[in-house]
Amino acid sequence: MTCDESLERMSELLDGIPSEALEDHLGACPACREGLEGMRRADGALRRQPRLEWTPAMTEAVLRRARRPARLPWALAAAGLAVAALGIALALRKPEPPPSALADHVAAVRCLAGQEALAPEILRSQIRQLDLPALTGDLLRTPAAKPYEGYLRETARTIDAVGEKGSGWSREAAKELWGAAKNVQDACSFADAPARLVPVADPAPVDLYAEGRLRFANGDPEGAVRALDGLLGRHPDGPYADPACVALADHFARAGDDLSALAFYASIRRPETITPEVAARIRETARRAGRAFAGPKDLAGADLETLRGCASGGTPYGLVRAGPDGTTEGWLLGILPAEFRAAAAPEAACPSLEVRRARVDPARMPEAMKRLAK
Amino acid sequence: MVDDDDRAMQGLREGRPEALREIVERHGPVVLNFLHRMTGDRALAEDLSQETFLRVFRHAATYVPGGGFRAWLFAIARNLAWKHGRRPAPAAPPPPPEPAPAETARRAELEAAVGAALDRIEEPFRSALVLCSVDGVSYKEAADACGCSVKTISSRLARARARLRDLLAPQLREDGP
Repeated sequence: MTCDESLERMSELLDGIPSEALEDHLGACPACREGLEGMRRADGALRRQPRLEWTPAMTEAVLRRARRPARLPWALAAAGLAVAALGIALALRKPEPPPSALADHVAAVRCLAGQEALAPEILRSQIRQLDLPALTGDLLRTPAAKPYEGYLRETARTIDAVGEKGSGWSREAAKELWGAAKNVQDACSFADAPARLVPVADPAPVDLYAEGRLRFANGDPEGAVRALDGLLGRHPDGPYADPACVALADHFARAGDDLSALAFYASIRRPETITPEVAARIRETARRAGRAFAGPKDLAGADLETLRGCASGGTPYGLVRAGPDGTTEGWLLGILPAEFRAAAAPEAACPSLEVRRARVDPARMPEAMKRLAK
Repeated sequence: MVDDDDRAMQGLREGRPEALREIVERHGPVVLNFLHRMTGDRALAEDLSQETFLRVFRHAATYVPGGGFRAWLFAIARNLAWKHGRRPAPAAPPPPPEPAPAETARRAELEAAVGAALDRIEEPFRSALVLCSVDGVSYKEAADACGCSVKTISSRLARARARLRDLLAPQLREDGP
Protein backbone atom coordinates (compact mmCIF):
# COMPACT_ATOMS: atom_id res chain seq x y z
CA MET A 1 0.00 0.00 0.00
CA THR A 2 1.24 3.48 -0.87
CA CYS A 3 0.74 6.60 1.23
CA ASP A 4 -1.66 7.79 -1.41
CA GLU A 5 -3.82 4.71 -1.10
CA SER A 6 -3.76 4.78 2.67
CA LEU A 7 -5.90 7.94 3.03
CA GLU A 8 -9.23 6.21 2.49
CA ARG A 9 -8.22 3.27 4.70
CA MET A 10 -7.22 5.70 7.48
CA SER A 11 -10.62 7.30 7.32
CA GLU A 12 -12.29 3.90 7.46
CA LEU A 13 -10.11 2.95 10.42
CA LEU A 14 -11.56 5.91 12.34
CA ASP A 15 -14.97 4.34 11.75
CA GLY A 16 -13.80 1.01 13.09
CA ILE A 17 -13.03 -0.70 9.79
CA PRO A 18 -9.58 -2.28 10.24
CA SER A 19 -7.15 -2.93 7.43
CA GLU A 20 -4.12 -5.16 7.75
CA ALA A 21 -2.46 -3.54 4.76
CA LEU A 22 -2.85 -0.15 6.42
CA GLU A 23 -1.38 -1.37 9.66
CA ASP A 24 1.64 -2.74 7.80
CA HIS A 25 2.01 0.55 6.03
CA LEU A 26 1.68 2.60 9.20
CA GLY A 27 4.36 0.52 10.82
CA ALA A 28 6.80 1.65 8.19
CA CYS A 29 5.64 5.19 7.48
CA PRO A 30 5.96 7.89 10.17
CA ALA A 31 4.34 10.53 7.90
CA CYS A 32 1.16 8.49 7.60
CA ARG A 33 1.14 7.71 11.31
CA GLU A 34 1.25 11.43 11.97
CA GLY A 35 -1.41 12.02 9.32
CA LEU A 36 -3.71 9.47 10.97
CA GLU A 37 -3.19 11.00 14.38
CA GLY A 38 -4.03 14.45 13.00
CA MET A 39 -7.14 13.06 11.36
CA ARG A 40 -8.20 11.43 14.60
CA ARG A 41 -7.79 14.67 16.53
CA ALA A 42 -9.62 16.75 13.94
CA ASP A 43 -12.43 14.21 13.89
CA GLY A 44 -12.58 14.31 17.68
CA ALA A 45 -12.78 18.11 17.66
CA LEU A 46 -15.66 17.92 15.20
CA ARG A 47 -17.53 15.32 17.24
CA ARG A 48 -17.05 17.30 20.44
CA GLN A 49 -18.78 20.38 19.04
CA PRO A 50 -21.72 21.31 21.30
CA ARG A 51 -25.01 19.91 20.11
CA LEU A 52 -28.28 21.80 19.89
CA GLU A 53 -31.20 20.59 21.91
CA TRP A 54 -34.47 19.61 20.28
CA THR A 55 -37.25 21.03 22.45
CA PRO A 56 -40.90 19.92 22.84
CA ALA A 57 -41.87 23.35 21.46
CA MET A 58 -40.18 22.47 18.19
CA THR A 59 -42.17 19.25 17.96
CA GLU A 60 -45.39 21.17 18.59
CA ALA A 61 -44.45 23.71 15.91
CA VAL A 62 -44.06 20.93 13.33
CA LEU A 63 -47.38 19.36 14.31
CA ARG A 64 -49.13 22.74 14.16
CA ARG A 65 -47.79 23.43 10.70
CA ALA A 66 -48.69 19.96 9.52
CA ARG A 67 -52.31 20.59 10.49
CA ARG A 68 -52.47 23.71 8.30
CA PRO A 69 -53.63 23.41 4.69
CA ALA A 70 -50.68 23.59 2.35
CA ARG A 71 -49.92 26.91 0.69
CA LEU A 72 -53.56 27.86 0.14
CA PRO A 73 -53.18 31.66 0.30
CA TRP A 74 -50.18 31.70 -1.99
CA ALA A 75 -51.90 29.55 -4.55
CA LEU A 76 -54.99 31.71 -4.51
CA ALA A 77 -52.99 34.86 -4.99
CA ALA A 78 -50.88 33.43 -7.74
CA ALA A 79 -53.36 31.43 -9.63
CA GLY A 80 -56.43 33.60 -9.48
CA LEU A 81 -59.99 32.55 -9.25
CA ALA A 82 -59.93 29.96 -11.95
CA VAL A 83 -57.27 27.84 -10.32
CA ALA A 84 -58.72 28.38 -6.86
CA ALA A 85 -62.03 27.06 -8.09
CA LEU A 86 -60.28 24.19 -9.75
CA GLY A 87 -58.38 23.43 -6.56
CA ILE A 88 -61.46 23.53 -4.39
CA ALA A 89 -63.31 21.35 -6.83
CA LEU A 90 -60.43 18.89 -6.82
CA ALA A 91 -60.30 18.88 -3.05
CA LEU A 92 -64.03 18.40 -2.61
CA ARG A 93 -64.45 15.69 -5.15
CA LYS A 94 -61.35 13.73 -4.17
CA PRO A 95 -60.43 12.91 -7.74
CA GLU A 96 -58.16 10.09 -8.70
CA PRO A 97 -54.50 10.95 -8.13
CA PRO A 98 -52.87 12.50 -11.16
CA PRO A 99 -50.84 10.05 -13.21
CA SER A 100 -47.17 9.95 -12.38
CA ALA A 101 -46.22 11.22 -15.85
CA LEU A 102 -47.61 14.55 -14.74
CA ALA A 103 -44.76 14.78 -12.24
CA ASP A 104 -42.27 14.78 -15.08
CA HIS A 105 -44.18 17.42 -16.98
CA VAL A 106 -44.49 19.72 -14.02
CA ALA A 107 -40.84 19.24 -13.07
CA ALA A 108 -39.84 20.04 -16.63
CA VAL A 109 -41.98 23.18 -16.73
CA ARG A 110 -40.62 24.30 -13.36
CA CYS A 111 -37.16 23.76 -14.64
CA LEU A 112 -37.78 25.72 -17.83
CA ALA A 113 -39.20 28.60 -15.88
CA GLY A 114 -35.86 29.00 -14.18
CA GLN A 115 -33.81 28.77 -17.32
CA GLU A 116 -33.89 32.18 -18.82
CA ALA A 117 -30.13 32.29 -18.67
CA LEU A 118 -29.81 29.41 -21.09
CA ALA A 119 -29.18 29.82 -24.78
CA PRO A 120 -32.38 30.20 -26.83
CA GLU A 121 -31.68 27.10 -28.91
CA ILE A 122 -31.38 24.94 -25.79
CA LEU A 123 -34.62 26.37 -24.47
CA ARG A 124 -36.35 25.78 -27.75
CA SER A 125 -35.26 22.19 -27.91
CA GLN A 126 -36.26 21.56 -24.29
CA ILE A 127 -39.65 23.13 -24.76
CA ARG A 128 -40.17 20.96 -27.81
CA GLN A 129 -39.46 17.95 -25.63
CA LEU A 130 -42.27 18.97 -23.29
CA ASP A 131 -45.25 16.96 -24.28
CA LEU A 132 -47.79 19.73 -23.91
CA PRO A 133 -50.82 17.81 -25.17
CA ALA A 134 -49.95 15.13 -22.63
CA LEU A 135 -49.54 17.73 -19.89
CA THR A 136 -53.00 19.14 -20.41
CA GLY A 137 -54.43 15.75 -21.27
CA ASP A 138 -53.20 14.20 -18.02
CA LEU A 139 -54.70 16.94 -15.95
CA LEU A 140 -57.96 16.91 -17.85
CA ARG A 141 -58.41 13.23 -17.15
CA THR A 142 -59.50 14.44 -13.72
CA PRO A 143 -63.22 15.12 -14.23
CA ALA A 144 -63.18 18.10 -11.86
CA ALA A 145 -60.67 19.87 -14.10
CA LYS A 146 -63.00 19.76 -17.10
CA PRO A 147 -64.57 23.19 -16.54
CA TYR A 148 -61.11 24.73 -16.62
CA GLU A 149 -60.08 23.13 -19.85
CA GLY A 150 -59.90 26.51 -21.56
CA TYR A 151 -57.54 27.88 -18.95
CA LEU A 152 -55.27 24.85 -19.09
CA ARG A 153 -55.12 24.87 -22.86
CA GLU A 154 -54.31 28.57 -22.76
CA THR A 155 -51.43 27.80 -20.39
CA ALA A 156 -50.12 25.18 -22.77
CA ARG A 157 -50.39 27.64 -25.65
CA THR A 158 -48.41 30.20 -23.66
CA ILE A 159 -45.62 27.73 -23.05
CA ASP A 160 -45.70 26.65 -26.66
CA ALA A 161 -45.52 30.25 -27.85
CA VAL A 162 -42.49 30.86 -25.68
CA GLY A 163 -40.88 27.81 -27.25
CA GLU A 164 -41.64 29.05 -30.73
CA LYS A 165 -40.30 32.52 -30.01
CA GLY A 166 -37.03 31.13 -28.76
CA SER A 167 -34.85 34.16 -29.21
CA GLY A 168 -37.62 36.30 -27.75
CA TRP A 169 -37.26 34.58 -24.39
CA SER A 170 -37.75 37.23 -21.80
CA ARG A 171 -38.14 37.68 -18.11
CA GLU A 172 -41.88 38.26 -18.61
CA ALA A 173 -42.25 35.02 -20.50
CA ALA A 174 -40.30 33.21 -17.81
CA LYS A 175 -42.54 34.66 -15.13
CA GLU A 176 -45.62 33.69 -17.07
CA LEU A 177 -44.34 30.18 -17.48
CA TRP A 178 -43.38 29.95 -13.84
CA GLY A 179 -46.84 31.13 -12.84
CA ALA A 180 -48.49 28.60 -15.12
CA ALA A 181 -46.40 25.78 -13.78
CA LYS A 182 -47.03 26.84 -10.19
CA ASN A 183 -50.73 26.98 -10.86
CA VAL A 184 -50.83 23.47 -12.16
CA GLN A 185 -48.69 22.28 -9.30
CA ASP A 186 -50.68 24.03 -6.62
CA ALA A 187 -53.98 22.98 -8.12
CA CYS A 188 -52.85 19.40 -7.84
CA SER A 189 -51.62 19.90 -4.31
CA PHE A 190 -55.19 20.57 -3.29
CA ALA A 191 -55.90 17.04 -4.26
CA ASP A 192 -53.43 16.00 -1.57
CA ALA A 193 -51.08 14.55 -4.12
CA PRO A 194 -48.06 16.85 -4.12
CA ALA A 195 -45.74 13.96 -3.50
CA ARG A 196 -46.58 12.55 -6.86
CA LEU A 197 -45.75 15.84 -8.49
CA VAL A 198 -42.43 16.84 -7.00
CA PRO A 199 -39.90 14.16 -6.18
CA VAL A 200 -38.25 15.97 -3.29
CA ALA A 201 -35.65 13.46 -2.28
CA ASP A 202 -34.44 12.93 -5.81
CA PRO A 203 -34.49 16.02 -8.02
CA ALA A 204 -34.67 15.36 -11.74
CA PRO A 205 -31.35 15.53 -13.63
CA VAL A 206 -32.68 18.31 -15.79
CA ASP A 207 -33.56 20.27 -12.63
CA LEU A 208 -30.07 19.93 -11.22
CA TYR A 209 -28.46 20.81 -14.52
CA ALA A 210 -30.65 23.86 -14.94
CA GLU A 211 -29.98 24.92 -11.38
CA GLY A 212 -26.24 24.65 -11.95
CA ARG A 213 -26.32 26.69 -15.14
CA LEU A 214 -28.56 29.27 -13.58
CA ARG A 215 -26.37 29.63 -10.53
CA PHE A 216 -23.29 30.11 -12.69
CA ALA A 217 -25.16 32.77 -14.63
CA ASN A 218 -26.24 34.47 -11.42
CA GLY A 219 -22.76 34.60 -9.94
CA ASP A 220 -23.18 31.76 -7.44
CA PRO A 221 -20.42 29.35 -8.50
CA GLU A 222 -20.40 27.45 -5.21
CA GLY A 223 -24.10 26.69 -5.54
CA ALA A 224 -23.61 25.78 -9.19
CA VAL A 225 -20.80 23.35 -8.37
CA ARG A 226 -23.00 21.79 -5.68
CA ALA A 227 -25.89 21.31 -8.09
CA LEU A 228 -23.79 19.90 -10.91
CA ASP A 229 -21.74 17.70 -8.62
CA GLY A 230 -25.00 16.39 -7.17
CA LEU A 231 -26.14 15.64 -10.70
CA LEU A 232 -22.93 13.71 -11.44
CA GLY A 233 -23.23 11.79 -8.17
CA ARG A 234 -26.84 10.82 -8.79
CA HIS A 235 -26.92 10.34 -12.53
CA PRO A 236 -23.36 9.66 -13.69
CA ASP A 237 -24.59 7.99 -16.87
CA GLY A 238 -27.48 10.33 -17.64
CA PRO A 239 -27.72 12.63 -20.63
CA TYR A 240 -26.81 15.68 -18.55
CA ALA A 241 -23.64 14.21 -17.04
CA ASP A 242 -21.33 15.22 -19.86
CA PRO A 243 -22.67 18.78 -20.17
CA ALA A 244 -22.27 19.06 -16.39
CA CYS A 245 -18.63 17.90 -16.62
CA VAL A 246 -17.95 20.47 -19.33
CA ALA A 247 -19.65 23.25 -17.34
CA LEU A 248 -17.68 22.36 -14.19
CA ALA A 249 -14.40 22.04 -16.06
CA ASP A 250 -14.93 25.38 -17.81
CA HIS A 251 -15.70 26.97 -14.45
CA PHE A 252 -12.56 25.62 -12.77
CA ALA A 253 -10.47 26.59 -15.80
CA ARG A 254 -11.82 30.14 -15.57
CA ALA A 255 -11.08 30.16 -11.85
CA GLY A 256 -7.48 29.16 -12.53
CA ASP A 257 -7.76 25.68 -10.97
CA ASP A 258 -6.51 23.92 -14.06
CA LEU A 259 -5.99 20.52 -12.49
CA SER A 260 -9.58 20.34 -11.26
CA ALA A 261 -10.67 21.48 -14.70
CA LEU A 262 -8.66 18.71 -16.32
CA ALA A 263 -10.12 16.19 -13.91
CA PHE A 264 -13.64 17.13 -14.97
CA TYR A 265 -12.71 17.13 -18.64
CA ALA A 266 -11.32 13.67 -18.03
CA SER A 267 -14.69 12.57 -16.65
CA ILE A 268 -16.47 13.18 -19.93
CA ARG A 269 -17.87 9.86 -20.99
CA ARG A 270 -19.06 10.35 -24.53
CA PRO A 271 -16.46 11.10 -27.17
CA GLU A 272 -19.00 13.15 -29.12
CA THR A 273 -19.06 15.64 -26.24
CA ILE A 274 -15.47 16.53 -27.07
CA THR A 275 -16.26 18.88 -29.91
CA PRO A 276 -13.38 20.80 -31.52
CA GLU A 277 -14.24 23.77 -29.25
CA VAL A 278 -14.15 21.65 -26.11
CA ALA A 279 -10.94 19.99 -27.30
CA ALA A 280 -9.39 23.42 -27.79
CA ARG A 281 -10.32 24.40 -24.24
CA ILE A 282 -8.88 21.15 -22.87
CA ARG A 283 -5.67 21.72 -24.80
CA GLU A 284 -5.38 25.27 -23.53
CA THR A 285 -6.06 24.21 -19.93
CA ALA A 286 -3.50 21.42 -20.17
CA ARG A 287 -0.95 23.84 -21.63
CA ARG A 288 -1.47 26.28 -18.75
CA ALA A 289 -1.19 23.48 -16.22
CA GLY A 290 2.04 22.32 -17.83
CA ARG A 291 0.60 18.92 -18.58
CA ALA A 292 1.43 16.97 -21.67
CA PHE A 293 -1.72 16.70 -23.67
CA ALA A 294 -2.06 13.69 -25.85
CA GLY A 295 -5.53 14.08 -27.09
CA PRO A 296 -8.29 13.81 -27.38
CA LYS A 297 -6.69 10.85 -28.99
CA ASP A 298 -8.80 8.02 -30.24
CA LEU A 299 -7.47 4.93 -28.54
CA ALA A 300 -9.96 2.50 -29.99
CA GLY A 301 -8.22 -0.80 -30.41
CA ALA A 302 -4.97 0.45 -28.93
CA ASP A 303 -2.71 -2.27 -27.61
CA LEU A 304 -0.59 -2.23 -24.50
CA GLU A 305 2.46 -0.95 -26.34
CA THR A 306 0.57 2.05 -27.67
CA LEU A 307 -0.67 2.85 -24.19
CA ARG A 308 2.77 2.49 -22.76
CA GLY A 309 3.99 4.89 -25.42
CA CYS A 310 1.30 7.40 -24.51
CA ALA A 311 2.02 7.07 -20.84
CA SER A 312 5.77 7.28 -20.80
CA GLY A 313 6.82 9.66 -18.08
CA GLY A 314 3.52 9.88 -16.24
CA THR A 315 0.13 8.52 -15.34
CA PRO A 316 -2.43 8.50 -18.11
CA TYR A 317 -5.91 9.70 -17.36
CA GLY A 318 -8.96 10.17 -19.42
CA LEU A 319 -11.84 8.25 -20.80
CA VAL A 320 -10.51 4.77 -21.30
CA ARG A 321 -12.62 1.66 -21.33
CA ALA A 322 -11.74 -1.98 -21.65
CA GLY A 323 -12.38 -3.02 -25.22
CA PRO A 324 -12.59 -6.45 -26.81
CA ASP A 325 -9.57 -8.74 -26.87
CA GLY A 326 -7.69 -6.95 -24.14
CA THR A 327 -7.53 -3.73 -26.10
CA THR A 328 -8.90 -0.41 -24.94
CA GLU A 329 -11.16 2.18 -26.38
CA GLY A 330 -11.75 5.75 -25.45
CA TRP A 331 -9.97 9.01 -25.25
CA LEU A 332 -6.74 9.83 -23.61
CA LEU A 333 -6.94 13.34 -22.31
CA GLY A 334 -3.56 13.79 -20.80
CA ILE A 335 -0.62 12.49 -18.87
CA LEU A 336 -0.04 13.51 -15.28
CA PRO A 337 3.67 13.85 -14.67
CA ALA A 338 5.48 11.27 -12.61
CA GLU A 339 5.76 13.40 -9.49
CA PHE A 340 2.00 13.22 -9.06
CA ARG A 341 2.34 9.57 -8.40
CA ALA A 342 4.52 10.28 -5.42
CA ALA A 343 2.15 9.44 -2.64
CA ALA A 344 3.78 11.77 -0.17
CA ALA A 345 3.35 14.81 -2.43
CA PRO A 346 2.10 17.56 -0.12
CA GLU A 347 -1.42 18.67 -0.88
CA ALA A 348 -0.31 22.29 -1.21
CA ALA A 349 1.84 21.36 -4.17
CA CYS A 350 -0.91 19.37 -5.77
CA PRO A 351 -4.26 20.77 -4.70
CA SER A 352 -6.29 18.80 -7.18
CA LEU A 353 -4.75 15.41 -6.95
CA GLU A 354 -7.68 14.20 -4.90
CA VAL A 355 -10.16 15.42 -7.45
CA ARG A 356 -8.37 13.55 -10.16
CA ARG A 357 -8.36 10.37 -8.14
CA ALA A 358 -11.99 10.68 -7.29
CA ARG A 359 -13.06 11.26 -10.82
CA VAL A 360 -11.21 8.53 -12.61
CA ASP A 361 -13.06 5.36 -11.86
CA PRO A 362 -10.52 2.57 -11.56
CA ALA A 363 -13.16 0.07 -12.58
CA ARG A 364 -13.17 1.67 -15.96
CA MET A 365 -9.46 1.51 -16.30
CA PRO A 366 -8.33 -1.72 -17.87
CA GLU A 367 -5.64 -3.75 -16.20
CA ALA A 368 -2.98 -2.44 -18.53
CA MET A 369 -3.68 1.14 -17.50
CA LYS A 370 -3.69 0.20 -13.82
CA ARG A 371 -0.25 -1.34 -14.17
CA LEU A 372 1.01 1.76 -15.87
CA ALA A 373 -0.45 3.97 -13.19
CA LYS A 374 1.35 2.11 -10.39
CA MET B 1 -38.65 -6.75 8.67
CA VAL B 2 -40.75 -3.71 9.51
CA ASP B 3 -38.89 -1.29 11.74
CA ASP B 4 -40.30 1.45 13.98
CA ASP B 5 -39.87 4.11 11.30
CA ASP B 6 -41.65 2.08 8.65
CA ARG B 7 -44.49 1.45 11.11
CA ALA B 8 -44.72 5.18 11.87
CA MET B 9 -44.74 6.04 8.17
CA GLN B 10 -47.53 3.55 7.65
CA GLY B 11 -49.39 5.34 10.42
CA LEU B 12 -48.78 8.65 8.70
CA ARG B 13 -50.24 7.33 5.49
CA GLU B 14 -53.26 6.13 7.41
CA GLY B 15 -53.73 9.63 8.82
CA ARG B 16 -52.74 8.97 12.45
CA PRO B 17 -51.34 12.26 13.80
CA GLU B 18 -49.38 10.61 16.62
CA ALA B 19 -47.22 8.93 13.96
CA LEU B 20 -45.77 12.29 12.98
CA ARG B 21 -45.07 13.13 16.61
CA GLU B 22 -43.26 9.83 17.01
CA ILE B 23 -41.07 10.48 13.97
CA VAL B 24 -40.31 14.07 14.96
CA GLU B 25 -39.39 13.17 18.52
CA ARG B 26 -37.21 10.27 17.43
CA HIS B 27 -35.28 12.07 14.70
CA GLY B 28 -35.63 15.76 15.61
CA PRO B 29 -32.32 16.07 17.50
CA VAL B 30 -30.19 14.42 14.85
CA VAL B 31 -31.84 16.32 11.98
CA LEU B 32 -31.46 19.63 13.82
CA ASN B 33 -27.79 19.06 14.51
CA PHE B 34 -27.12 17.79 11.00
CA LEU B 35 -28.68 20.96 9.56
CA HIS B 36 -26.82 23.12 12.04
CA ARG B 37 -23.47 21.67 10.93
CA MET B 38 -24.51 21.96 7.29
CA THR B 39 -25.75 25.55 7.41
CA GLY B 40 -23.71 27.02 10.26
CA ASP B 41 -26.80 28.90 11.41
CA ARG B 42 -28.91 27.89 14.38
CA ALA B 43 -32.12 29.71 13.44
CA LEU B 44 -31.95 28.48 9.87
CA ALA B 45 -31.30 24.94 11.08
CA GLU B 46 -34.42 25.10 13.26
CA ASP B 47 -36.55 26.35 10.36
CA LEU B 48 -35.19 23.74 7.99
CA SER B 49 -35.72 20.98 10.55
CA GLN B 50 -39.40 21.88 10.69
CA GLU B 51 -39.55 22.00 6.93
CA THR B 52 -37.87 18.59 6.70
CA PHE B 53 -40.53 16.96 8.86
CA LEU B 54 -43.31 18.75 7.03
CA ARG B 55 -41.99 17.28 3.81
CA VAL B 56 -41.90 13.85 5.38
CA PHE B 57 -45.54 14.40 6.32
CA ARG B 58 -46.63 15.71 2.92
CA HIS B 59 -44.66 13.23 0.87
CA ALA B 60 -45.30 10.17 3.00
CA ALA B 61 -47.02 8.55 0.04
CA THR B 62 -43.75 8.41 -1.89
CA TYR B 63 -41.80 6.67 0.85
CA VAL B 64 -41.03 3.07 0.04
CA PRO B 65 -40.84 0.96 3.22
CA GLY B 66 -37.80 -1.23 3.61
CA GLY B 67 -35.66 0.16 6.38
CA GLY B 68 -34.34 3.14 4.44
CA PHE B 69 -36.20 5.82 6.34
CA ARG B 70 -33.17 7.56 7.82
CA ALA B 71 -31.49 7.79 4.42
CA TRP B 72 -34.68 9.27 2.95
CA LEU B 73 -34.98 11.72 5.83
CA PHE B 74 -31.37 12.85 5.47
CA ALA B 75 -31.81 13.17 1.71
CA ILE B 76 -34.65 15.63 2.30
CA ALA B 77 -32.69 17.54 4.95
CA ARG B 78 -29.60 17.62 2.77
CA ASN B 79 -31.58 18.94 -0.21
CA LEU B 80 -32.94 21.73 1.97
CA ALA B 81 -29.48 22.55 3.30
CA TRP B 82 -28.15 22.69 -0.27
CA LYS B 83 -30.92 24.98 -1.32
CA HIS B 84 -30.18 27.45 1.45
CA GLY B 85 -26.41 27.22 1.38
CA ARG B 86 -24.13 27.84 4.30
CA ARG B 87 -23.77 31.02 6.27
CA PRO B 88 -20.11 31.74 6.97
CA ALA B 89 -19.06 31.37 10.58
CA PRO B 90 -17.92 34.58 12.30
CA ALA B 91 -14.22 35.23 11.81
CA ALA B 92 -13.50 35.05 15.53
CA PRO B 93 -15.55 34.12 18.58
CA PRO B 94 -17.18 37.09 20.30
CA PRO B 95 -15.06 38.37 23.20
CA PRO B 96 -16.19 37.08 26.56
CA PRO B 97 -17.63 39.68 28.94
CA GLU B 98 -14.90 38.99 31.45
CA PRO B 99 -11.64 37.11 31.18
CA ALA B 100 -12.52 33.47 30.68
CA PRO B 101 -10.52 30.60 32.05
CA ALA B 102 -7.86 29.45 29.59
CA GLU B 103 -9.62 26.14 28.97
CA THR B 104 -12.95 27.82 28.14
CA ALA B 105 -11.26 30.29 25.82
CA ARG B 106 -9.39 27.51 24.01
CA ARG B 107 -12.57 25.50 23.61
CA ALA B 108 -14.43 28.50 22.18
CA GLU B 109 -11.59 29.16 19.79
CA LEU B 110 -11.55 25.55 18.62
CA GLU B 111 -15.32 25.61 18.20
CA ALA B 112 -15.08 28.69 15.99
CA ALA B 113 -12.23 27.12 14.04
CA VAL B 114 -14.28 23.98 13.39
CA GLY B 115 -17.18 26.15 12.14
CA ALA B 116 -14.84 28.08 9.86
CA ALA B 117 -13.30 24.83 8.60
CA LEU B 118 -16.74 23.46 7.74
CA ASP B 119 -17.33 26.65 5.73
CA ARG B 120 -14.34 25.77 3.64
CA ILE B 121 -15.19 22.14 3.03
CA GLU B 122 -17.39 22.16 -0.02
CA GLU B 123 -20.31 20.00 -0.84
CA PRO B 124 -20.65 17.07 -1.34
CA PHE B 125 -17.71 16.43 0.98
CA ARG B 126 -19.24 18.37 3.88
CA SER B 127 -22.39 16.27 4.01
CA ALA B 128 -20.36 13.04 3.92
CA LEU B 129 -18.31 14.33 6.84
CA VAL B 130 -21.26 15.54 8.91
CA LEU B 131 -23.38 12.46 8.24
CA CYS B 132 -20.74 9.84 8.95
CA SER B 133 -18.44 11.55 11.38
CA VAL B 134 -20.83 13.60 13.50
CA ASP B 135 -24.17 11.90 13.19
CA GLY B 136 -22.81 8.38 13.09
CA VAL B 137 -24.79 7.45 10.01
CA SER B 138 -23.58 4.27 8.29
CA TYR B 139 -21.78 4.52 4.93
CA LYS B 140 -24.72 2.75 3.30
CA GLU B 141 -27.28 5.18 4.70
CA ALA B 142 -25.11 8.16 3.82
CA ALA B 143 -24.69 6.80 0.29
CA ASP B 144 -28.45 6.42 -0.06
CA ALA B 145 -29.02 9.91 1.32
CA CYS B 146 -26.48 11.43 -1.07
CA GLY B 147 -27.53 9.35 -4.07
CA CYS B 148 -24.12 7.82 -4.66
CA SER B 149 -22.25 4.59 -4.02
CA VAL B 150 -20.73 3.49 -0.71
CA LYS B 151 -17.31 3.70 -2.36
CA THR B 152 -17.95 7.32 -3.29
CA ILE B 153 -19.02 8.17 0.26
CA SER B 154 -15.91 6.54 1.66
CA SER B 155 -13.74 8.52 -0.74
CA ARG B 156 -15.55 11.81 -0.04
CA LEU B 157 -15.32 11.22 3.69
CA ALA B 158 -11.58 10.55 3.50
CA ARG B 159 -11.02 13.73 1.51
CA ALA B 160 -13.16 15.76 3.88
CA ARG B 161 -11.35 14.40 6.92
CA ALA B 162 -7.96 15.12 5.40
CA ARG B 163 -9.09 18.65 4.59
CA LEU B 164 -10.47 19.16 8.11
CA ARG B 165 -7.20 17.90 9.58
CA ASP B 166 -5.20 20.38 7.48
CA LEU B 167 -7.54 23.29 8.26
CA LEU B 168 -7.48 22.61 11.99
CA ALA B 169 -3.78 21.85 12.17
CA PRO B 170 -2.78 25.16 13.82
CA GLN B 171 -5.46 24.91 16.54
CA LEU B 172 -4.85 21.24 17.21
CA ARG B 173 -1.11 21.83 17.49
CA GLU B 174 -1.75 24.52 20.11
CA ASP B 175 -4.40 22.41 21.75
CA GLY B 176 -2.03 19.55 22.44
CA PRO B 177 -2.90 15.88 22.33
